[in-house]
Amino acid sequence: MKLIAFILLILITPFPFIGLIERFKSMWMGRKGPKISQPFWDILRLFRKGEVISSVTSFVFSVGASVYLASVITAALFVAPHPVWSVASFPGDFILFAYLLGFGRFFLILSAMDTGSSFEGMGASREITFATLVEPAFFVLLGTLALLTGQTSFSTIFAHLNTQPEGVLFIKIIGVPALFLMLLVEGSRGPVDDPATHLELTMIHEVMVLDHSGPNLAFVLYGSWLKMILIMQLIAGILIPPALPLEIQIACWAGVMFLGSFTTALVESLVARVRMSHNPQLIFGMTALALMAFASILYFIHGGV
Amino acid sequence: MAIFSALYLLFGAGLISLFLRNSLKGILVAAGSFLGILVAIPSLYRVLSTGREITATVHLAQPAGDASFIMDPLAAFFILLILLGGFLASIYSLGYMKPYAQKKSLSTYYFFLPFLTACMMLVVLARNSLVFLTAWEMMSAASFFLVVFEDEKPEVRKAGMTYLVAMQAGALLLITAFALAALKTGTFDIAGLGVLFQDHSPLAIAVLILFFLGFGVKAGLIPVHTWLPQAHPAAPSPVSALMSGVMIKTGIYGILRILTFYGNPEPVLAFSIFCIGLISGLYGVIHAIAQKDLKKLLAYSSIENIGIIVMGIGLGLIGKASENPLIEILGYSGALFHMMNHFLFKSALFYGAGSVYLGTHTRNMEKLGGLVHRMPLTAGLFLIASMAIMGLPLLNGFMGEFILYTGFFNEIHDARTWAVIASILGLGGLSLIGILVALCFAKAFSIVFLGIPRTTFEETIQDPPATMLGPMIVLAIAMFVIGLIPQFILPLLAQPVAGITGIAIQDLSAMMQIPLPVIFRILMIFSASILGLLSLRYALRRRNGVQYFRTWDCGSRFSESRIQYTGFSFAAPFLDLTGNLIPGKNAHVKPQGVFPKQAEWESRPGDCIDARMIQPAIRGIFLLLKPFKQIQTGKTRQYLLYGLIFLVLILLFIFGMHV
Repeated sequence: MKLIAFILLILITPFPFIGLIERFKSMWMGRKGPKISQPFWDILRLFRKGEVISSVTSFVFSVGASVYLASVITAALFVAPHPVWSVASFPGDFILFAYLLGFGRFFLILSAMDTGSSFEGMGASREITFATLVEPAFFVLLGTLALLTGQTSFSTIFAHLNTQPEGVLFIKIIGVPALFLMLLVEGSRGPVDDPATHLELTMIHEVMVLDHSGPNLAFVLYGSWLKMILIMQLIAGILIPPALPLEIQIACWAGVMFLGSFTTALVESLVARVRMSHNPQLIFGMTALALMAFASILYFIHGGV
Repeated sequence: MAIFSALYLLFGAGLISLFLRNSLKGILVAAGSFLGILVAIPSLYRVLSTGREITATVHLAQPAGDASFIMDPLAAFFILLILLGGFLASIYSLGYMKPYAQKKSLSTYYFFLPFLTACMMLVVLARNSLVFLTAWEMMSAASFFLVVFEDEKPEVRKAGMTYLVAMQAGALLLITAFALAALKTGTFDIAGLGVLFQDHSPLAIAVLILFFLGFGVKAGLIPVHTWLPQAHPAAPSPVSALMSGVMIKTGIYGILRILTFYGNPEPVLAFSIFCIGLISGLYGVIHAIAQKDLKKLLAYSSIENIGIIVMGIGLGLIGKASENPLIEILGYSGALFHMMNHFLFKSALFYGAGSVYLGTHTRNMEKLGGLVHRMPLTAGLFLIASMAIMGLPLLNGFMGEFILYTGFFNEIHDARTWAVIASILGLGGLSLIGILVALCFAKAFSIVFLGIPRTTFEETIQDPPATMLGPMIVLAIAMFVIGLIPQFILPLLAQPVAGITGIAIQDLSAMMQIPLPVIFRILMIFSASILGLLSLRYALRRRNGVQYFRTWDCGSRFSESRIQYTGFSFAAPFLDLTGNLIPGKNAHVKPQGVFPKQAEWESRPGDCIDARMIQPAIRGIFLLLKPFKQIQTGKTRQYLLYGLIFLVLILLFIFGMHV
């Protein structure tokens, strides 16, 4: 029963926070903006629509979006509803987490290539190229967290983030920006990607799913929202000190998620989209941050190299 | 030893096939390979389950002396892969060789195919260095004849020569190493290496490096890998599968065997071997991404996988050097597990590439596309193998990499700083390799099988016959079973790992501290949610209706197949990041002047180490040897004179020694 309640909780989390991001963005633009519940109605509307499918596509396209969403939902089991009390946890669960997300990404890319469209090929090629820059940094960051806490699973790492005060402070200062960069890339937000552009040539994620429509598009949209929330969960896990009373932890969690949505909207509104050819430099910043975090934690733990 | 009867069966099948019609040769060889597996299984099972060795000694003439053949768990594990690989290749050949059967004799092919399998078995059994080297050379020769099967094509002959020369260079290193060892210890028995390596003297280190280089040539480790991307595409696909899936692993076998005699490694040694693996992995996959020849891509990917295996061996050594048995077990089991996985998915991929080649007569991916509609089964099986090679969950590749990742994550808690740095390098490196493999195979699969055909194929292309699909299906099922329930396969690894590490192992999966049942449950949730979402979508489609239309093209009405993304354009954003690591990936003739006459662009991805190290070295050797051309006149009389002069010198030398 608890399990089902947790999973339902995971599944509804994206709606309010994605709604908040849109709301904040429109506030920055000086518009009133859509209702906070708008993302939910968007998904529901897409569920009621029929699909237009390219006649070039094969079985890969027809399973792609479902596999993508399923992979994100399964990955959610490790970090949600609250990073410390995840539904599933075992030593090395973040490996499965990262590879499940990779599973979904691979199928989305194949669906894009299946349509034979040059636009979608472009999006797919960019998506995987930027992912190659994110993945190693993510593992280095997790290795650093494991080094700091002596643990090897998401929930135990977050539960032990008070063992070494200086180290934890460093992780909070360096690791959170790194994860935030990951959030921008994986959640396809600005300034890396532009979810609201009208020119396919400047898009990454959106251009990859041009031929998705109806329920298929709903799966993809919702999947990338959920993915964004998952990375926000990791940020929350690092920021919220463990061993607080339950109510305060939940309040902190809501606060971090709120702040995360606000910052995402802020960055997207105030920072111009980076030129596509300069994106790798920006994303590589995540690797740099992760390596800095590793070096400093190594210094703290081993007392100088 | 019962395993010898498998050898006789293989040799015999090859020999008898010489006297049969082209159409019957293959059936006989396949039957021989199958019988070989049957007779070998009882003894393999005994060795792998109990860990007891089976020994046979054959008395040979001087100088070899008594030659012992020992089947210990490590050898048994390799023999299992060798026999399976040989059998699957012979089945696949039944279909693949059919178009060639009308054109040319298949005698050499069907003689050397089981011969190669048998030689590989001899290599892992032999414990006398002279016998080992003989078997090693026979293996190289047999594979050479298989590589040059299509010897009417000049590029095949060239690739064959490169292969032969590389193999001889590697063998030369091994001969030197064994000779040094035999001089020092006075015995040709490989176990004598234990005496040599006892004190870790400079000579021992030198011999170890020679061994590592010599076996590295066969395994395809950088910087001595350059034969691999040339030989694999030239060989017929079943041979490529056998070579890449099994034969290059004999190099790994050699490295593992030598290391068992080495005792406790120095941290520097462990760290260097680990780094060689890491660099090989990255180098292989980055080059694989740039390729447009499907089989060349797979060949480079073999270099990458060998890199991962060597990373595992390096991790095992690091575990030994840091006195952590858990890491040692994880490292070696990860290496052996990944080796078996690589055999499964790489064979399947080469079979898939062979089926594509047989249908379309091209290996150039930029000319393919849309084959999923023509050969759906091949496409599906190729997709499964691609997912396995990327290490995606549900399939076997994930489990192997998971073991290695667990090793790195555990090693990070070590108190030694160098070990922590090694493990963070391992984490970053393995994940980078993993995502690059995803890029590489997203490209390979989607360019070959998805989209709109880039050429109009005249013949009706369809899925190959059952003899070619069968091996792929068997491999795909194995990938799923191992990916979901590795408990089935881990007992096979227990005794070999115990043999390498010297740690008694009862239950490997319990010792590795990996919660396999939990992972299995999560994978089940994953599959269930895929099925759930698929049925939800199906229901919604039924209710809301579906329309088929052409791909959205922004209103343009150009030829759809020409404006598609090509393999090169798919990989270009990443390749731009690699700078000029890969020579010739962008060969331009740029438009010049006000009225440009000519502009060309071509991608001829070369090999960084080949172009910048090996070729200059070869040119240097040629320059060095040029003066000696004077004595090569081509006149028999002069050569006879040389012989005479040589004999006189020898006589004088001996005379001088005795005076």
